[in-house]
Formats: sequence, C-alpha cells, structure tokens
Amino acid sequence: MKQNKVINIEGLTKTYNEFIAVNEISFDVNEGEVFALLGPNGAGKTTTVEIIECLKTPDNGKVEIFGINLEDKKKQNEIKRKIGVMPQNFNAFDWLTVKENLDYFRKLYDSKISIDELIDRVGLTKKTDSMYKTLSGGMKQRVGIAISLINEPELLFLDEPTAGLDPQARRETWNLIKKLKQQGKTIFLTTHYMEEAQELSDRILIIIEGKIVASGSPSKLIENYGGNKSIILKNCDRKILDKNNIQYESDRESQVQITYDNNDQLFKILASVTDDPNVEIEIKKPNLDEAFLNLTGRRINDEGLAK
Amino acid sequence: MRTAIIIFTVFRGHFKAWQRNKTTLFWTLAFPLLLMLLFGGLFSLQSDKMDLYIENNDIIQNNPSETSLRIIRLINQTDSFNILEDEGDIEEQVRTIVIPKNFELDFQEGDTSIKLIMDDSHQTFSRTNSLINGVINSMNIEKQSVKQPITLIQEQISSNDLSFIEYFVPGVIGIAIMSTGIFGTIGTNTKYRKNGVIKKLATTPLSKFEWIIGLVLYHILIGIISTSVILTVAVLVFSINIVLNPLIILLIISGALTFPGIGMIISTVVREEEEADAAGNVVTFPMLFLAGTFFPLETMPTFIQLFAKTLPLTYLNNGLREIMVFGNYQAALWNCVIVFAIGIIAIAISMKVTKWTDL
Ligand SMILES: Nc1ncnc2c1ncn2[C@@H]1O[C@H](COP(=O)(O)OP(=O)(O)O)[C@@H](O)[C@H]1O
Ligand SMILES: [Mg+2]
Repeated sequence: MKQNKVINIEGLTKTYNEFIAVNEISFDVNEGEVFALLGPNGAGKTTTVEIIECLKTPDNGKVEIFGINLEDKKKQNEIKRKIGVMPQNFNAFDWLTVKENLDYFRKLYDSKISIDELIDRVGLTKKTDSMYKTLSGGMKQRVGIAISLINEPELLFLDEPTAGLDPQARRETWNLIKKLKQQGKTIFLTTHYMEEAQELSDRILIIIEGKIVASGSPSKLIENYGGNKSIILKNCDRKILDKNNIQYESDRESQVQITYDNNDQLFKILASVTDDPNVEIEIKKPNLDEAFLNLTGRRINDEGLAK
Repeated sequence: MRTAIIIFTVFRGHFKAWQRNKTTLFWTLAFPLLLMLLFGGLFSLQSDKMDLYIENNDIIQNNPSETSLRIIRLINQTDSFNILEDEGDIEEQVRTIVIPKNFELDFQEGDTSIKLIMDDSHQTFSRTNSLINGVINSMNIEKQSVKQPITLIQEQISSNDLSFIEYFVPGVIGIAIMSTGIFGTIGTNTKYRKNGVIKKLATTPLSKFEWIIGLVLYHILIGIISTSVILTVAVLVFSINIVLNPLIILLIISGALTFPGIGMIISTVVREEEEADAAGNVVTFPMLFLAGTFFPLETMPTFIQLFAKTLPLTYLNNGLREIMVFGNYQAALWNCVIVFAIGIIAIAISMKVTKWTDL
C-alpha cells in the first residue's frame, strides 16, 4: 500500500553553537496517521518539530512538507497556512477571553471557521467569556488545541500537549486528540510520556540525544524490544516451583518473577501454585516502558528526565 | 487589505489588554496625573509673590520724588510683588512698571499715567493689572478735585515667561508617552517571548512587520488618550491656557514610533521579565531628568546640555511645549521632524533585530 507522505525528512541536523541537538535524522510522516516523537527532555524533539514548523532553521538536511522544500523561504507562508501548531508550553493572550483569543488568531489566518463550534469541540463552552489567564492548565492546553485548529489545517503539531496536566485532564486531552484523528487529521505528536505515545499513536519514533533509536508502531516496538512476558508471584512457596522445575528470578524476599513465552507455559506455572492459598498473582505484559528500557537502558520519569 | 485587518487585530488586542490591566492603566493615566498634581501643587504653594520691575523716571535732584516713592510703597503693601530694580531689558522682564518723568508734578496737576509693560496673555496679567489698578485708585481718591489724576496704560510685550505648571504639563505628557512606550513594550515583549505567545504568533501568517506596526498604532491611541486626560485635568485644576493644534497629534505619533521602537530593541537583549524593568530604567532615567521635563536646560552645565541634545525626549518635550504653550508652529514642527526621524530609525532597527525565527 502506497501512503501519501506529508512530511519527508532526510539527514536533518541542527546545532546550537557547538552542541548537536539533532543529529542526522531521517523519517517520514504519512497522511492521516498519529506520529509520535518520543524521548526524554533534551532529546531534540522540540528542535525537530520547530524546524518543520518553519520556526527554526536547520544546519543540514532536507525537509519537505506537503512536497514543499523548506529551503524555499518564500513558500513558508504557504506551509504556515496549512499547518496547525501548538508549541511546547503554549500560552495565549492573558487579558483576552477564550473567544477573543480564538477570534484574534482567526483574523490572522482570515479563516471563516465558527468559533463557537470550535469552542464546543474542545469542551470549553462554559469558559467562552473567561479571561485566558484565569483558566486551569488543562483548559489552557485545550485553548491551544482549538487555536491550532483555527485554520482547519490538514496537519497538526502538538508539542507535549499534556505536560504538567493531572491524569484527568490528560485523559480529556487524549480523547480530544483521538477525535481529531477520527476526523482524518494527520497529527505529529511530541511527548516524553510512554503511555501517551502508546495510547495515541500509530507510529513512534524514539530519539535520544538527537539520534533515532528505534521506530515502528507501538505494538511492533513492544514485540521487538518489550522483552518476555512474565508473571509475578507473591508469597509463594518456592519449593513447589523447584519441584515443578520452574525457573524463577527473585529480587525481593516475598516475590519471584517468572518469564514465559506462551500460554502453555503460563498455565503450567499457574497450575503449580493452585493449592497455595497465600499466593498473589500478577501478570506483567511487556509495555513501551520495558521496550524503552531495553532499547536505551533508561527510564523516563514524569518530568521527562531519563535515568 | 488582509495586512490591514491583521494589523488592526494586533492593535485591538493590545488595546483591550491595556484597558483590562490595572497596572498598565496606572502607568499610562494615574502616574502622569499624580506627577502633575503633586509637582504642580507643590510649586503653586511656593512664594506667591510676582517679580515686578520698576523703572522710576521721576528723579528730582538725584532723588526719587516723594510721590513716586509713595506709589512704590503702596505697591509693596499689597504683599503680592517682589519689587526689583529695572535692569533695562524690558523684553526679558515679565512685568515692568514705568513711572514717568515729572510724575509728582503732573499728579498735582491731576493728569499723569503709569505704564504697565506686560504680556496680556500671561496667566498672571489680570491679577497684576487689578492689583496695580487698586493702588492707583487709592491714590486717585485723595485727589478729590480731579476725576482720574493717574491712569494706567498697558504696553504689550510678548513674553516667554512660563509658570512652573505651564512649563511642566508638556513634560508630563512627554514622560507619559516615553514611559508607556519603553516600559510597556519591553514588558509585553519580554513576557510574550518567555510565555510562548511570540512563538505561537510566529507559527501563523502574522509577520513581525505587522506585529510591530500594530504595536505602534496602539501606542498612538493610548498616547492620545493620556494626553487628552492630562490636558483636561491641567486646564480644570490649574486653569492654564493650551494651544490645541494637529501638530500635537503628529508629535504623539512620532513619540509612538520612537519609544516603542527603543523598547523593542531593548527587549531583544533582555532575557528575563525581572530584567525588563531594570533595562527600562536605565534608558528612561536620564531622560526623565535631563530632557527638560522639570526645569529648563539653559541653566545646566554645557556638557549636560549637549547630552540632552542626544535624547529623543528633549525634542518631544520641546515640541509639545512650543506648540501647546507658545503656539510656535515652526519650532514645534522642527522638533517634531527630529522625533519622527529618530522614530523611523528606531522602528527600522527594531524590525531588523526582532526575531521571528530561531527564538
Ligand atoms: N535555543 C537554544 N540554544 C541552545 N541550546 C538549545 C536551544 N534550544 C534547545 N537547546 C538544547 O538542545 C537540546 C534539545 O532541546 P529540545 O529540542 O528542546 O529537546 P526536547 O524537546 O526533546 O526536550 C537540549 O539539550 C537543549 O538544551
Ligand atoms: Mg521539547
């Protein structure tokens, strides 16, 4: 199946003074997909998207968006009209209301979109006439998404759209992004949250220190790098396991971890402990966290720091 | 057309924010008013006595005549004048009384006059005139035989003498335009760059040219608003005479190019919001005191006068003063041209140095 490429990047490099922030990366983004750039803080995600958004000038490499080469500076306005952007740490005008902010940006694009409908779509109808500065973090992010939709773009860039939000607000934003995907928009997402990338995206590109580490769909990444499936048994009698010839690891006194490849093996393990009334069972599915850990040897915490 | 709509959008956004923000309202309206009322009030409390030069020509055998000395004494008793000896430079003296030769004799005859040389448009003219008339009347009453032995004649001069408040009001307007222009622009641009608004704007078709022009238009409007408010209060409280002329608008426009332009340039080097005020102070402080806002520069040492000539506020103040107080169009226009030229240069530089990419 031949898909339409919306973005085509080859050998992109960007340095700040001597520091290489983005190091010869190449990738494509296809029409209609949610594409996630995943990596810890400082990986070069923002630098990469901002180059595509015509906010930064690259040192090297080819960037094509809608088939237009970014080197053609005169075409940049044409690109800006076709994309919607929510920058990292987005903010609108503090002293304008939600509606006034949207109207402001609508005028900049000379767009005819209905603002009330747009406000409704992002669930801010009750806040239409509230001053932007009085909104909560989650609401501000949703204003940001609404503004990025004001010119009815085909391609949407969301740079860390849920950074700093509480779980509830994060969920709401995710639902909004899913709805946008259903409407056929191509979405370029930047995030350091594994769960976010896994939940929303069709394809993930993992970058660290400006370099691509891996790419693929979430399920492919997990399958390839997520490691073995495993089961954790708490308070179980290890003698039974020994008797049944089951290999286990243990990093804590009270529990053991057993890896397995298929359901037959799983049933065998479970069968061996059926008579033990104290045992607690936890089945661990490999997830993106595991895959990331296996790929990079690090984990990313909530603040986006790699450890 | 599209550009016009975009510029208007930027302009209206700034204006709405200004209206809603108590801090910006304070600095553009309340602060200049307080400044004017405070200093205007202080200086009007100061010695109420007016300088009065007396040229006494009625000298008999090297001594002033009895009658001439008596009238001077009576003038002194009004407690309203500092009596000074005539220095012969009538044009430089705000008010001069001339007592003619043979005053004493002619007074006995019942036919003489006293001359008051003063600008009748001067704000103290009517007060001076009625005080001197009072003195003359009290002398005339003694001479029952003649109806009016002494008459008061006025001789017109055009005077450059200003009361403090007349001098100060154009300076207050200058300060208002300067501080709103510089502090306002540094403040909003630094804030918008730090909080990401500028970055967001840069992702839209808005160009930095349109952004800066919108900002200038906004400063023109609030310049006109604060000037109107300051002038209204000045006229109501201090009852000063103001010449209203379209040149005032041109001067405001020139100031709205110059100071926001300077503010934009500074805000490209200011990184943090806290540094913004400090940077603004560095630029505005010398202008506040050395651009002839509070006192004329003629009394200052030469190097300060030369320094003042490099400050755009000097020309804005002079221009406003020339037109509002003296009605001197030519001098005002000349100052206006200088401010305008500085403004165009400042805006041109700010367009160059303002970053819209690689923020
Ligand atoms: N304007 C800049 N000047 C210098 N260094 C920068 C600049 N912007 C980003 N960097 C550096 O480049 C690296 C990548 O930054 P960024 O693209 O923002 O990463 P991410 O979005 O993945 O957190 C970081 O180490 C950051 O400190
Ligand atoms: Mg980032």
